[in-house]
Amino acid sequence: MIEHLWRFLQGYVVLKIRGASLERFLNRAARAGVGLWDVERLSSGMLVARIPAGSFRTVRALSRAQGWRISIAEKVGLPFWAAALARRKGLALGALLALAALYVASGHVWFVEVQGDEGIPAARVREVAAAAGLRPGVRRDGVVREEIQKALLLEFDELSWASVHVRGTRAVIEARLRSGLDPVPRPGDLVAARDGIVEQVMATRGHPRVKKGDTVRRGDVLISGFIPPGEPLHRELLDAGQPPYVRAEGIVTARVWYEGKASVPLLQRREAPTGARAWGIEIELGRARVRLGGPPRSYQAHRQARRSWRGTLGSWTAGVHWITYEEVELELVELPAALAEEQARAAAAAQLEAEMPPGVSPVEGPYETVEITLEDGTPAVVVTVRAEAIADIATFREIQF
Amino acid sequence: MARGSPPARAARLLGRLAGSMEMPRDVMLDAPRVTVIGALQAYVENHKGILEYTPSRVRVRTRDGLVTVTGSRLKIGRLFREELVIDGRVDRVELEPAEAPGSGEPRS
Repeated sequence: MIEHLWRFLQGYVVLKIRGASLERFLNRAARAGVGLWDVERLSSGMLVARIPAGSFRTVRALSRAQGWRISIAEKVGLPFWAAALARRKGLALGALLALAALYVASGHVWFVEVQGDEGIPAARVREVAAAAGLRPGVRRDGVVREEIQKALLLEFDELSWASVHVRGTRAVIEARLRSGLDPVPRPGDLVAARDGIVEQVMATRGHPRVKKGDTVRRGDVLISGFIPPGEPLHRELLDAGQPPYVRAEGIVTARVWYEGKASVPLLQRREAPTGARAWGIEIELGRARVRLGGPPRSYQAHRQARRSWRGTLGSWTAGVHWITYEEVELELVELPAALAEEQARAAAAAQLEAEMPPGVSPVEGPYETVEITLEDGTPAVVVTVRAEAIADIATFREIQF
Repeated sequence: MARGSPPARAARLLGRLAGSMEMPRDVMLDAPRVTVIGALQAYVENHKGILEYTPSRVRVRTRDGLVTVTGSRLKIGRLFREELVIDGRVDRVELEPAEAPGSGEPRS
């Protein structure tokens, strides 16, 4: 194997030798230091032999002197290949150019694919991506993925998410449609999400039904999706062969109230363990339960805790519950009024804060009222905190035909 | 007892020397060495030239006489100054001792 490789690297020629007493030719060549291999006699006057390419001159010289005729049947090996390539400069140049072209081409994006939910406007997505710098032919490292994603999300309201990645010469845009969004906007009104006094009405689509200073209640229509006959749009829609309804859009801000309310009883029940305990056991088999033992009748009140072991076999459940009964004494503890009020105030304020939507801050207030009332026969401190805020109260409601 | 020609006497002397020094005789005496690998190959070292080559017979001159390899589809796998490999189907290898001293020298 090594020998073959070495011969290939060195290069060798396949010779045809014609003449008489060719054995002498072989002996002379060997004595002249030429190694021969794969020598075959084709006929009495002809031999084929292989010799290293470098020994050819020696062999030719001695055959000329002795009158043997030699010819080269084949040239094999790396030096001959290299020489052939050197002669065919065009071929070598072509191969180099092809390699270079391949290298350059692999650095570009040649295909732009759009994947994702059904209903994605693939052609338009491609257009927008192209405008943002992703189109067949651009350099791969010139594609700024974030820019293209941003452009897509800005252009298409219906997309909730878009991503771009480049694999080889292929760029894939993946996009998702916003869930729950109708591809075709359905007509509807903007109605009040809560009670309030209207501050400002900005209708971008639809017919405003309230104006500044109006008091509205929750559910009242603020901007109607129905275009009344007096408006020019009514006519336009009818002329276009469509019903006079639109999807109302706009902002209606109103002065609204938020309220937090909490009560803290002044008398509080407290359970004080007496230290007495009793135990019981409950056996569970399917739906049946059998209880053994229990709290003594002498206990005025008790708390119980249980430890359970249950197992199921198919639809059958079996279990054992160990129940601990602890006797407690109920006592009423009076809470200082100031402490009760403080607790109630803190709870009410927390409730008010939870009530107000994020981003809305009170324009007036908070105002608080403190009352003492009887709740279930027990006196309690009730704190109510109210705040006024300006908030967008418009919420969409589809028109039901 | 004939004492032989001077080269023959020298060879005998070398042979005795090699034997007494336990050195390989083929190395010391330029004696031919024929190795046969199965029926596939005959390997001749210290040859003095090919006398005849046909696909059925190769006769090789050596210092000690004529080595004849007979078989079929014989070809010379390798031929160097002192080394000869005969490939093909080898049926028989014979050594024909030299008739006269010095007949082992190549004539070509």
